[in-house]
Amino acid sequence: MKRLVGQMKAKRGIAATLVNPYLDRVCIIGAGGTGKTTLLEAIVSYFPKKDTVFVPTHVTTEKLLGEKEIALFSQLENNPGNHSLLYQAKIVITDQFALMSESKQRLLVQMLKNKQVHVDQNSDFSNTPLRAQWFYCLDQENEDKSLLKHAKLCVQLLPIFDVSERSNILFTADNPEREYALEEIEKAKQRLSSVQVSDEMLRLAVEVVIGSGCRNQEADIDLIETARALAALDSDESIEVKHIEEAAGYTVAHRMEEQQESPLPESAESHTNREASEDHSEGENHSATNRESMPIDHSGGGYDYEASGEPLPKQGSPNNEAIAEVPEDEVDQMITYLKVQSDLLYPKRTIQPQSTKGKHREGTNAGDNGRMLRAVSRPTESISLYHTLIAATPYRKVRVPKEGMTLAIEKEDIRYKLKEQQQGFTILFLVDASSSIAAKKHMRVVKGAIFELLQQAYQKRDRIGMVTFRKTEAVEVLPFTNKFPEAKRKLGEISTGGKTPLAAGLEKALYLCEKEKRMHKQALPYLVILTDGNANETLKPGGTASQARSESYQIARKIAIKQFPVTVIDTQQGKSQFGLAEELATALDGEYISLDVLTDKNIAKTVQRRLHPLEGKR
Amino acid sequence: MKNYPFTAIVGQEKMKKALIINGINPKIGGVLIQGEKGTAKSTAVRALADVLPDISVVNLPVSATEDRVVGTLDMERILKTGEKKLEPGILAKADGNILYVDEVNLLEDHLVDILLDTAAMGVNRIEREGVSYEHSSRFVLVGTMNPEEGMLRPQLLDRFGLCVNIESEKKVEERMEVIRRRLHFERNQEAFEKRYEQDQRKLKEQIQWAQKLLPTVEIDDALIGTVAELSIELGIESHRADITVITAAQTLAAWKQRAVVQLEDIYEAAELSLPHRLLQDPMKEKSSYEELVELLRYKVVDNK
Repeated sequence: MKRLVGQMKAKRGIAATLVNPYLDRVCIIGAGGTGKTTLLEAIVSYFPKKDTVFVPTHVTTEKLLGEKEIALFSQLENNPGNHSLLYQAKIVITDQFALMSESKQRLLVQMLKNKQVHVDQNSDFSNTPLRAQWFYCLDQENEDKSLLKHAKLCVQLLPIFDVSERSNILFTADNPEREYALEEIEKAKQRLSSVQVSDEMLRLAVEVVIGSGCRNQEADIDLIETARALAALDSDESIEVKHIEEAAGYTVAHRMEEQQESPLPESAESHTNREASEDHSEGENHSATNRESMPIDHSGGGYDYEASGEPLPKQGSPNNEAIAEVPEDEVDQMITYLKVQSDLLYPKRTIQPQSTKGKHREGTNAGDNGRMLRAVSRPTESISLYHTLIAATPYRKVRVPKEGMTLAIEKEDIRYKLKEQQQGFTILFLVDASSSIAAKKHMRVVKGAIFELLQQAYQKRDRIGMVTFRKTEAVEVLPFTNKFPEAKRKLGEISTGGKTPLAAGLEKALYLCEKEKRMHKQALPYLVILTDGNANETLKPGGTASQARSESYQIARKIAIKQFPVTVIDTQQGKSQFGLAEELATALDGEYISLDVLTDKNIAKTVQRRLHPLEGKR
Repeated sequence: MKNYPFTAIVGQEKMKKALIINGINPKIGGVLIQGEKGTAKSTAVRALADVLPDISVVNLPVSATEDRVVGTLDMERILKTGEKKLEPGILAKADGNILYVDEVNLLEDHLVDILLDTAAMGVNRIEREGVSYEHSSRFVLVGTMNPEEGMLRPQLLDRFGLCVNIESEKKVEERMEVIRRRLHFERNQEAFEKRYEQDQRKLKEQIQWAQKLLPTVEIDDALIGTVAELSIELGIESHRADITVITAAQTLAAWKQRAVVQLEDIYEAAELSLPHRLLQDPMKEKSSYEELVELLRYKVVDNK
């Protein structure tokens, strides 16, 4: 593991998983170029090559499940290719796990959790156990942190900001020497079974997990197992507080996300959070220095040695008293430490997730599941046997079948299934939250409409997002989702009032729609705008009302050129209509709707009718 | 690799009860287990097979293809010999067994439809590529889901006989016990199994007795009336609900080695089989099942 310079913390975590195979789902997270793949390579080198399976991002369902392959075009008599890819794997590696399509991700995780592989033998399937350790990598920038939760243990690679270490990386790229030699791991493995776990340590582990707000009970066991492995690595006979603390960083921090997201406005929340944790860690340091018997570098938050690459806490000198009775504040300390850890894992939205991922997505989204539409001769995912046979029938008399075959089928007879997958829509609500309209009421109505639509979202597979604009800027209140609880959490309180930066709102909507379109090829985002059209704030605050209006029309034209379907719902009712919203709709090439009464049901119905026009007529 | 013994699972009594009575009487119509990750859902389902006579757990992976679920033509055979032969799918394998669908809420729509169809009829009909074939496919449908990842269609929800919500254990002592047992299990599976051998055998016997006793369990008309009243009062439209409550109550009585259904059985059965059928208003803050179950409790107690 010498290949990777520094990153002691991550290496120790990985060493723990090598010692204790119970920790069988391991996530490596880090920013681009911090050495995730290098670490993976290092892991692979600990195992014989035949036991290692790399799962590529474009893997097919058939390959994972081990669908029966047809030996039709294969010259070999016994085609061994019909086993699952994971069959008899000991180590499963997925670099770039996030790029796999969602259904494949789930399938893979399920198979690994179930620890079983179907084996197809003479159309009689049986299950063979699958005992594999799975290592996967995630990019720090990845927005979907739910992928982290598949892991029992998660290590983080941090960028190194130290000149000498960075240059070390450049020089020692190919040093075969290992930090954790294979023998060392083997020895630790033997020690593992004799590591004792006292009841106090069990209690501490459980209290830490409960206190951290992690709702996954499995974390208890993972925490103890990791602590055991660490103790084995240190040649300690029993688990000590330091092991629990260290192990918690690996096994609990990445499952803490829920706590972080509260309905509070994001910026304010992160502020207070950070402040709070800073306060705490200061206090922590004090208490650590006060208590002399504790090695400082370990109760100081585990922070120091991972950055500086210092050797880990030396063995021995454990405080016997601390083990005998677990002080109350021990738990609190650890939880504070965990909060810092999980803060590192979940960076606030300040980092723009700009990346090259759009392109990779394309191929993986192709639906290999779904209903068959018709047979085509252009190759697709699967062959339609029936149509192939029909196509071959007219030639039966003139062709001579190949040896061993009853029918003569040529390549040109082969027909493929064209499949279609039901695809939902993506709806973006762009809502005027400025004071120029009765914003509070409208906000309530829109929220109601979103809830209404989301209730049906599971069946229709629609995803909904929301952007509001007021004062000088547009805010993405609800990122695209089809999950009701998430929407409910995020749409708690939305502030209203201020000027009307319509242009900024449109710009944000355009950006989000384009991004969405790039990510999900088939889905065309549908934009629903609720406004009176009366723009009075420019992109750069301070412009005149007419400037604001012309700016917003310019962006509206851009949206029109992209041909996103748009509906403008006029919030101005009754006589005092200026027709501004109607003008906007024209500029957008969109539909203009003026509802007599704005209610949530009305809006939901309008949107539904537009998206699923056949629904009512059935 | 061995399964973790069913009797060694700490707590989660409701889930265990629901699974056992389904094992005794498959007519109850399966169970949906809703809960967070890491609450021993899968462990319990897999362990169940060990205490039931001649039953195994068949897994339906979330992204399985239609071909694999329903069954398809054995193409190799057709091409080599010209004979049509059917290659059975997961539904064929599930016949007489437990069909376990992890994350059932994420199952693709067309698979859900197939599942519903088959579960309702007890027969899997294959109509494809010029073959018509049918085989019986009666199974206990056990699904798990995490409600945070999306809800289930109401049609499918109603199809599950019972529904239990489980949460992670809040008591420190209990959780410590969970870890202790797990550690023991990981360290020495044989010894661990031995420790629970007697419990396992007892449970097996109790299940078998219950299965024998079940056909003779009686329920009097007054209790049936109670169930009907309860459903009407709660505004439940599905008649399946009433039937499930009664079937489950009978099974519970058999499980407790009684030949007559008592009011407490009805209460227990209703608690398991009604929550997911109640109309829920997601706009309301307090939509939790617990509250409705609480209501249920009062209703039944009042009737005493």
